[in-house]
Amino acid sequence: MAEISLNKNKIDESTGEVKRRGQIASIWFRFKKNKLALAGLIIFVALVIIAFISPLILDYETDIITQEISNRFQGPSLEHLFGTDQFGRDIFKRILWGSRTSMFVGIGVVAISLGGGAIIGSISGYYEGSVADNVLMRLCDMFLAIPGTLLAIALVSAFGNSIPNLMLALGISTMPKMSRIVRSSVLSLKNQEFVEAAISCGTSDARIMFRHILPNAVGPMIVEGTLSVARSIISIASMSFIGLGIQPPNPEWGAMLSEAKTQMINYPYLVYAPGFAIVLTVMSLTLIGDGLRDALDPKMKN
Amino acid sequence: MDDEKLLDIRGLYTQYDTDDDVVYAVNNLSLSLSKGRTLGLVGETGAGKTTTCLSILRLLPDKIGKITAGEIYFDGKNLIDLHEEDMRQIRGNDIAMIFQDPLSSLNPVYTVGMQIGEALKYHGIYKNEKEIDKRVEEMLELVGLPKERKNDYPHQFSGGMKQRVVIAMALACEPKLLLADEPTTALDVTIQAQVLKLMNDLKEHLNTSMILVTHDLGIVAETCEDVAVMYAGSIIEKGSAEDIFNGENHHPYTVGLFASIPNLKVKTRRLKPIDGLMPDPANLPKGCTFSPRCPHCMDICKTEEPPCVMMGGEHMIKCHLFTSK
Amino acid sequence: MVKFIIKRLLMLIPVLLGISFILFSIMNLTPGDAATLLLGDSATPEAVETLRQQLGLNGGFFERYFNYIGNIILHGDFGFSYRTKNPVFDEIFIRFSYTVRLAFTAIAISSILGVLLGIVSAIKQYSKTDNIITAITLILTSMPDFWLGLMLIILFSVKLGVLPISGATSWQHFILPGFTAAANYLANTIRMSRSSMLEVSRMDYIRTARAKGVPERDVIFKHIFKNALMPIVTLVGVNMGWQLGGTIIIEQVFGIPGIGSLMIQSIRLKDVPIVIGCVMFIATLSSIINLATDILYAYIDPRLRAKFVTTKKKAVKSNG
Repeated sequence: MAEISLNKNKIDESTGEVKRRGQIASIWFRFKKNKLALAGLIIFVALVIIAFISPLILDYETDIITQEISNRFQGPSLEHLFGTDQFGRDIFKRILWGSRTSMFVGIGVVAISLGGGAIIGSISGYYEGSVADNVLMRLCDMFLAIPGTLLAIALVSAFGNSIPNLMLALGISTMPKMSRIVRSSVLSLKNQEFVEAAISCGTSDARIMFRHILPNAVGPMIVEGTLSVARSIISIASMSFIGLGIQPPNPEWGAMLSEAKTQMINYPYLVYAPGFAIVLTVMSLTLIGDGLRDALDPKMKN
Repeated sequence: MDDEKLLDIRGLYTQYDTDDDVVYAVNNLSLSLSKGRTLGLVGETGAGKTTTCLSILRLLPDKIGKITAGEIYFDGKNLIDLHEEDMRQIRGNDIAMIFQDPLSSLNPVYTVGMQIGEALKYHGIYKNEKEIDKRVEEMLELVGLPKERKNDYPHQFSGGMKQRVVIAMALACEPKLLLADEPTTALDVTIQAQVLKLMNDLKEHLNTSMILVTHDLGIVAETCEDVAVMYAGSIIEKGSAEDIFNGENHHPYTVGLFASIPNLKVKTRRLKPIDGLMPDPANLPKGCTFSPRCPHCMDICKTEEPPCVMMGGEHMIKCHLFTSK
Repeated sequence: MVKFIIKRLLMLIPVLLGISFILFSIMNLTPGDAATLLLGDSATPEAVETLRQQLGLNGGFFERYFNYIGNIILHGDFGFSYRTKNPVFDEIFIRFSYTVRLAFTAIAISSILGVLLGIVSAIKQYSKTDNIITAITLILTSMPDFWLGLMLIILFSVKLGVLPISGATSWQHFILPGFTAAANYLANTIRMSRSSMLEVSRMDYIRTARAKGVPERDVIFKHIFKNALMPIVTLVGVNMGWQLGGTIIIEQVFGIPGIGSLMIQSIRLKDVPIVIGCVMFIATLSSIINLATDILYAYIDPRLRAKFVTTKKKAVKSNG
């Protein structure tokens, strides 16, 4: 194995690969060999493009939230690709617009939990066994003992119902898990030679943590972050579904399903499209996350 | 002569198809072994020794490893043509294998007694539990372990004791052929000697033939009657131990191999390693596989695969240097 | 062994105290209290004040918290529901029976089916069957459970009309929710069983077993499976803990009055004793399940059994 990888490096140099980008290039090389991951990436990029261009081609007031009762419950047709809902709004346009909310809030949630998790996890991992580590980890244990959905519901009802509060609630409820992940990768990195070398050179704790350890923990954090965005999108939809997340008329997919639920016995088609949209988004992110994990650590692959 | 041969491998090719490339692990390997003899299979790590053993048992990793050409005659039957079920009957019963690492060769969740008895059970040699049990106790005592320990689990044994268990397991059915893949590499030097002696005694006792895979020439000198030197998937020199250790003519690789080990009788200033590395088995050089490292490399070596030259008796060298003679 | 169990249960106490404090704080973050919420906007301020007195809602934050905790520690009294005035555990146990039925349906489906599919997938690695199972796993993980629930209702209740839409009055009522709740865990169990089986199948001792001539069936079910069981048991244990904690959203979709519904209702009404009581109950339950999984390990893996035996011996020594 060692010999084979040695040869690979030689090939990379001879074909003129830039040495500094060698690592990223080889991750990308492995990632793009994984067809499923590549498909996930393509779908995700398409969804991001949709999220960005939908306000250019659609108007929130007229296309998304204006009710047109005379036009209600139109089944799928060429004019209304996925039909219209109980207020006569075009479901296809609402789905397109909804991608903005899901992605924005999903990424926001992960930014909060990853940011908090990185700070908590690296402090507690670096000062393993200290009072700070013990306090932080016991706090994590306590939060982890509370079911995540319940914690999020309690936080939203405490903070009040709004998009930033929802992000905060979901961010806080996933933070303990993220802290644990960061902590364990910091722990495994801490004992490696390059960190010991830095310590022996008298480098300050903060510098070791942020310049030596965290950059090396970025890989697993990106993987976990990607998968976490996927899970958050489901959580957001779930919260909206039970009326504690994003409120109608905002066309978030879970909120659309919540509205559709009351009509689904007579008009089941209302339920299909928003659900498929969630599945597609979450699946693309899951594929990217899994592909990245395999690409970052080829040994882990079965 | 031919019917005395227990094992006869002719022109064996084995390869591994990995995600990235095809690894040619065994290339045009021919080898034979007579009843009751011990053959030492010598070569560097990665020369294809283990793959050869796994090919004989047809236990190559599923879907990745496969035999692409050649015949393996065992007791007159070509193992490659056998049905999987018939092959299973041979494994453990007629041909047993001892793997490199005794520490990981035992299943941690079953008692050693159960694991020794298993082979007996599946080959139907002993009819009932009681007989199997008796045989297990017998085998444990044969390898020098108290029979009461049959109810212990692998983690309760030391490395050397585990290897004894593994040997007991392999020999329980009194196989005709024992494939021992570096049986002592994972053990302490003091225990190595004990285990080797044990294996030799048992082999004599049961009249088993053995292929001993090793890269330790000292072990070969002590235990083997025949020696085959392997390089990049094929046998480049073989003969009796006498031919290999004291013969005049040798393959340049064998010469290098001997120069790279310390010799107590001759005063040397420093050991001479063979220059270069073993070729990448996914990307073998044309002609003679040793040519890029060979001090006597000729033009023909880079283009044509050398023939097997018989040097008298059983001594064979696969090298262009000797074709003229 | 007994010492080990007691130690583990004692470790639960600080966690429970922490949980109660966290939830008590969160529930007290917003203005408005249970009295106002219960009586509605039309109630007179006098009536609200009387109820507030009754429920003990007056007084500072810490005063109320220590009252609450003091009652639990000194009298084993977890308080009563502000809404129904029943003791907290009476309320919980009524609801818990529904959650238990749902949880066990889901666990049975996800564990049995998950392990089976995982094994098949591992044995036939890279085959068409494996690909199909992997695809199912991927879809199941990407699907919000409430949406799967809605889809199942549309198919089985609306279109085919074979199963009830919602409620919890007969065993048929638990089939669709059971499958819905199983979906995510099913995917996890398949993944875990597959990778665990594959990992063990690469071990040297599996090759040894084959070299002994053990038939493939026994190699898989005796040698590989027993070693692969450990992470699977952990996962099933964790799943069970979560399932018993009430699948809040699924109970909402199918109108099951389980512990999840109780919690969500109580959060809305600021019925603090119920919320904290429920979470403490769930935390204790999942901790007991974790403990049971750890003990179960010892029966699977002799290496861990040895550990238990030594702790036992030590315990005997310290006693003597």
